[in-house]
Amino acid sequence: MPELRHPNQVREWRERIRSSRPAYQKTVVISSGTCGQASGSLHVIEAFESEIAKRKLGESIRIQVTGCHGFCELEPNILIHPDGLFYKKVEPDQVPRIVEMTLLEDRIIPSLVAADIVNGIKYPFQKDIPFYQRQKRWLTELNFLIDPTSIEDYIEQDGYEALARVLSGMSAEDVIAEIKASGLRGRGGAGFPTGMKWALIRSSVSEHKHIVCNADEGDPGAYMNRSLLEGNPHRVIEGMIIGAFAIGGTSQGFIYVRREYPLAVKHLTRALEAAREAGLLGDSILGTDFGFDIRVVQGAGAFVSGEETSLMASIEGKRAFPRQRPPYPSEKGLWGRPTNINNAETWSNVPLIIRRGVDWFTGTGTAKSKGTKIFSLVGKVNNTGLVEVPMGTSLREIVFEIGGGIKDGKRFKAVQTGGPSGGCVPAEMMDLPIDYDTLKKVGSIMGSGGMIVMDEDTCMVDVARYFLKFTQEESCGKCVPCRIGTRKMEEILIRITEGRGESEDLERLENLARTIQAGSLCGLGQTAPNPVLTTLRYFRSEYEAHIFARSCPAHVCKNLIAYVIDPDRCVGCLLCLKNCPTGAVEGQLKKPHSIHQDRCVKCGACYDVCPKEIRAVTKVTAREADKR
Amino acid sequence: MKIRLDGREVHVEGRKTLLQVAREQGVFLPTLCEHPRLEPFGGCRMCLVEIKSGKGFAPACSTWAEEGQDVTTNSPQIADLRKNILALILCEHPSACLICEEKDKCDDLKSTIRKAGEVTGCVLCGNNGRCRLQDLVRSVGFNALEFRAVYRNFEVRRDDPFFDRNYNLCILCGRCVRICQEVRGASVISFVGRGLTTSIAAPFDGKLLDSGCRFCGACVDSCPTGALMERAVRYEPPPDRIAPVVCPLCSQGCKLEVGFRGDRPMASHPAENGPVNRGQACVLGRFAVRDAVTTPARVLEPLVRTESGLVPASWDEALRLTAAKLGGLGKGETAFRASSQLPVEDLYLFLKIFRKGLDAVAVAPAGEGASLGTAREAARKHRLDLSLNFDLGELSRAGAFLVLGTDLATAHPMIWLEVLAAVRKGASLVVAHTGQVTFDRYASPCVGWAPGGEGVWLQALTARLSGKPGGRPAGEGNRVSPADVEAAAKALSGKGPIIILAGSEVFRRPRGETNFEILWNLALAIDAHLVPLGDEINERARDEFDRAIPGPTRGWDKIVSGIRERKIRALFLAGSAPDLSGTRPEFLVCQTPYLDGNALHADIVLPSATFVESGGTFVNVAGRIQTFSPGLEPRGESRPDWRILSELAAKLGFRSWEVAGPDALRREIAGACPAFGSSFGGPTPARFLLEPKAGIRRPVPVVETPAPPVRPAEFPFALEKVSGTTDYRGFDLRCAAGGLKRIRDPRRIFLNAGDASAAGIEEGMEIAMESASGRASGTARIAGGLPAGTAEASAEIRDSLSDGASGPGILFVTIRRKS
Repeated sequence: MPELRHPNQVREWRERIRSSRPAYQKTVVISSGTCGQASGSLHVIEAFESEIAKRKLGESIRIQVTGCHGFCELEPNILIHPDGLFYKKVEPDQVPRIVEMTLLEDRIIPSLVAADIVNGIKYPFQKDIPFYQRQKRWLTELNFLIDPTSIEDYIEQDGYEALARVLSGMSAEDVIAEIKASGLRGRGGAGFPTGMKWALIRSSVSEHKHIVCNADEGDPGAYMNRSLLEGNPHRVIEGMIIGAFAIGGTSQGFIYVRREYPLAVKHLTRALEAAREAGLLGDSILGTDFGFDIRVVQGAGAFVSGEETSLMASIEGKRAFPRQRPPYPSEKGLWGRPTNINNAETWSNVPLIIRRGVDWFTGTGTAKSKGTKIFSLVGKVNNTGLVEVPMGTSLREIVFEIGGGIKDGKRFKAVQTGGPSGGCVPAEMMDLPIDYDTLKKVGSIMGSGGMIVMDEDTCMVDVARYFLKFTQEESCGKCVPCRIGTRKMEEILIRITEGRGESEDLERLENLARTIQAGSLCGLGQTAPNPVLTTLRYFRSEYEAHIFARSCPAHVCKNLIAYVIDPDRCVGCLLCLKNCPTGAVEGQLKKPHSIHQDRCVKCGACYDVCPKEIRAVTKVTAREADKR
Repeated sequence: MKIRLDGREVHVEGRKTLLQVAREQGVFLPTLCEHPRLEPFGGCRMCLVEIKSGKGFAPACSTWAEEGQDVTTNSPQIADLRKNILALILCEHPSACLICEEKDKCDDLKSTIRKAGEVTGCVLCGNNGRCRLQDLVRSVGFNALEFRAVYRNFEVRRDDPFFDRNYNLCILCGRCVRICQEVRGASVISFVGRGLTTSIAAPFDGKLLDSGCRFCGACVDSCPTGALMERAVRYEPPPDRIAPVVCPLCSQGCKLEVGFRGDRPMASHPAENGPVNRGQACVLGRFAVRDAVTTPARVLEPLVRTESGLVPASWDEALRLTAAKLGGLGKGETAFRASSQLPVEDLYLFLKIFRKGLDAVAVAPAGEGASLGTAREAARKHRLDLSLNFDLGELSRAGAFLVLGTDLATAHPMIWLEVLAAVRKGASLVVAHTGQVTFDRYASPCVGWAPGGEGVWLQALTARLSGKPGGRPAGEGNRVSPADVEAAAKALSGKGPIIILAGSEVFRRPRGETNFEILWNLALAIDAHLVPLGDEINERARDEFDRAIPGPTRGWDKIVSGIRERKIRALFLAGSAPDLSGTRPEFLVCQTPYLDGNALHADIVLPSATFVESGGTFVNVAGRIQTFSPGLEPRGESRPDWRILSELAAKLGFRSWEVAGPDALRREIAGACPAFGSSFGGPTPARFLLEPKAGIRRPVPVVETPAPPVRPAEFPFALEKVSGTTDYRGFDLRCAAGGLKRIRDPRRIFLNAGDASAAGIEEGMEIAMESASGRASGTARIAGGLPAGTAEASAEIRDSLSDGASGPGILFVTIRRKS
């Protein structure tokens, strides 16, 4: 690896890398982020390596291990270039066949081709798959192309070109002006204009300033930042270096990443070492007199550590307690010095804006939210995964066109955006163009990009209870409204879901929510009631059904439902009878069974084993069961 | 700047929080987590106010006043919000009593606290009636438990001395955690857990005893509820009377407030308005005062030795016998020891009677007590402008500290708090000491110098800082690490003002005077304020009196040989002395509050009152003069020392020396002793000793740098005395307050970790020590901060190894594990 001593040398290095790459006939790209590895990608890699070695194909076939490709549902997936063939859920024992048929004989293996769950259409090439086709993968694009542990791969894909441009003549003001003009807003949730934040910190007078990348990402089911750090750590680093240059007066940056992201930590650490070796970090970056370095700080996995003031406390080695703002970190941050905090996704945008220009960036998005946003699409949707779409894309597009619709053909009910701090957006608002401001208007938030899809089988009271349980457990304990208030809200929600709700409970919930919102110290508490408030706003009738009718319309809350067997559908197969742990099912072979409600513990075993095509066991509300 | 507060225009000067502004304006805001000495926390959310133009509600305690703010402190919404938040606090706090319908009757009818293992309501809580949370409920209003009450079921921690920790009552305001960290620098407790299980705990949820806790009681005093309760008064109602006293147990002179029920002293609390301590105390002032007064070891009537031993006698008889014996002795045949812990008035009368009246020989203060005198003498010899007075507040504004020869946090706890405050603001702290240094983590560097090697070290530092070579060069031979000197010099450079706090170790060594000269030159070279620190209260006053009423003074070794040779025939003890059972003088009088040690061998025991009962004046290490009135009638027949002495004077025939009381003595002192002139005589009493500005500031020649003594090969360890006294007028307070014994076990022998492992010694092992003149044993404790080759033990152990009276020299011993 060369040590770069001039901005121009980045381009020279890139050209050298490009020209020295051997010409492979085929490249096998294996998606191996955390999710890929969890699905077995490491065994697939091993299988490919041994197969290629065995057949002595190392000269003509390249195996490239990359970060996450985003299509979690089909992991571990591979891409075969030059055609961009996409194989889903590859098993190690299929590898010899892939090598034999596809790599050597150019034949497609139909069983490995992705197919649309709804209409069965097969898509052998990645570019045709609707999940990818509808996305605009600016930030996640390189996750297909580079080995995150190789700085050469990043350089080859125009990496550090933006930094080189900045350091070959741009002034700090120029950089800030670019970012301002791009309209980039913080991707951590609040959507504060990034350029404005930088300018603010640049103008503050202090001997030392700091730069922080927030990659704590504590929302359950959200992994946007993880994917960026695992798949393309250098772009975050490049963004931070540019930010440090623009803000000025800073020589030390920090990346705060949770310890539960070991792969991200590993890739980041390796990337930092490589960047240092290449002269991209250190006392004299690219031979200029601008110096900056970055340290990785690992968090212990407290949700509150993602809140910027607690994050700083944690970096300082203290308990991650938030503190009252103002003063904001831009005035008094780490060790009392002005500190600029952006999340990993925001930092990733910076090199792109510098390299491709403001016009390119502002061409995508809505009036007030520019560029793209990564969402982690999870829940009851067919294509779960990480999706990157332009700001302003509608929920319908995300859920139905990219997400492939709701699992098992169920009805779409709502989406929770913004994690536990966000709120739910009901199906009626499906055509809402998603950006910071629209989400705020409907009572939710963008957050860092979690998107949990819920279907008709989801009880909204139960969902609210789940999120309150999470925030209650994750409350740092510093301020009273959050620590005790969220617990009290959870208690009421538990009561309601158990069928013990009282008529004043909704008023109590709203009253508590107001106290917590107005009284809490930090964002964690202030937003904690959102899931309850939005579900109350859009699904009040469900709450009322629980309280007044003692019934759970979605058939989720155990105390409020019953399992019954439809005698007209039951074929008397004895499956449910044999699986019932309490002997509540009565019946004889080939005669309709019935469930003895007094003995039933509502474990759902009968429901699960009843064959799909029969569907004789059904869930009904307790009231309906009584009627029968 | 101008802001609007509840519609009124208010002028704000300087940087203030909205809470400060509101208070200045007489606007009440409820608070729980706020504390005047702590940084804003913003956890309890009781002080929420509404700022127009701002983002809704903000806590007044942690929001700075800014030009043009429009602040509302009370509106129906705010009142509602506060009530709701308080309701949340109370559902986690046993609060049934607060909403009980019979509350008022209960308050009237129940005058004592029921002893209950679990506190389930205010009437079962030791804090009932003095609880901040109760007050707050009263002011904010609360009448129904809206939410389900939760009992968190934490185990009540009763395994530490002095106080219990019942976190079921804790509202997590964090004042204990923060005061321990921000004000005391100990940081032994912390928040643990999150969500509903958030709590406060010592490391690994263990005992405070194992955590490095100093038991200063700051956490207990800052607790707004009954979660931290002093065990001794836990089941007592609030005191019916409070009297201020000045604590004489160390050099600081903290102002304490002792509570009483009838004639029973209760807890002693640091006074918020104490000029030295500002609401803080140490374990002695906070937890030992009550026991010092009430201990069964008190002697409550005069005792006279007959054939059947010590028997009660009348005051008249005891004093008559004493006067008859002493009056019959010649010049120099009587020796006396007057504790510095006697009030100034009594000390003066003592010297007057014994020196002027009886031509007696004074016993020199042992060991540490000599330190200040050495510095003062050296300064006088060279006519130096050495000012010993200082204001503690000045310390917190310093830029750098050089702390020498003392474990500041133990020996001078209040000075330490001010130093810590400065260090927390960025001042640098260099410490050099032979023994353990509590909170060495705040010092950079913290140097462990070889015993007796302080002179060479200081000389090396002076040479480095002044740029002029001198003294012995740093290096192996002199046991001075050049790296340490360099680090110290760096830390002190470019930081002003610099304050040198020089503790007793520097001056009590055989070459203490030379050490002072070196230090003086160092202070001049770096333009630092040199503050020699005496270890005892009233050391400054004693120094003044020694000059006003001069007389011979002898060290213990001379006194002991005098007794053996029968040159000294009578000994009058009103202070600590080594065990005299082996060398009992012909006539021994003990004037003491306690029947203990030497008093058991005395011919006459004159029971004196403790400081709580006698009142009087104390002069602290900084020259501050504080006078207080008796808080309590003397117990039994004990009497204030001045009264005993006054009557003794009369019986000795010095009729005119009889005094009516301390007032008269103070007037006399004002005339006899110029330093007290303006304090005891002037119309507006000065608060400090008067120091004539006479001397000059110039370097003094240092004749020879004392080299560290050569360690005898057969005795490889230097044994130092562990910091921190528990002595009150010769009585070991550990015998009165059991908790003190647990904290400062006299059997502990501290060893450096390396030395210990080399000798195969582990923490808690029984070890034996031997010196040229004695043997002792104790329990090993591994101390990180001790330099290699140095051990620390209690005065008892050290005395038993050093031929009774431990001189100022360095004691060398062997240490081995007991087989």
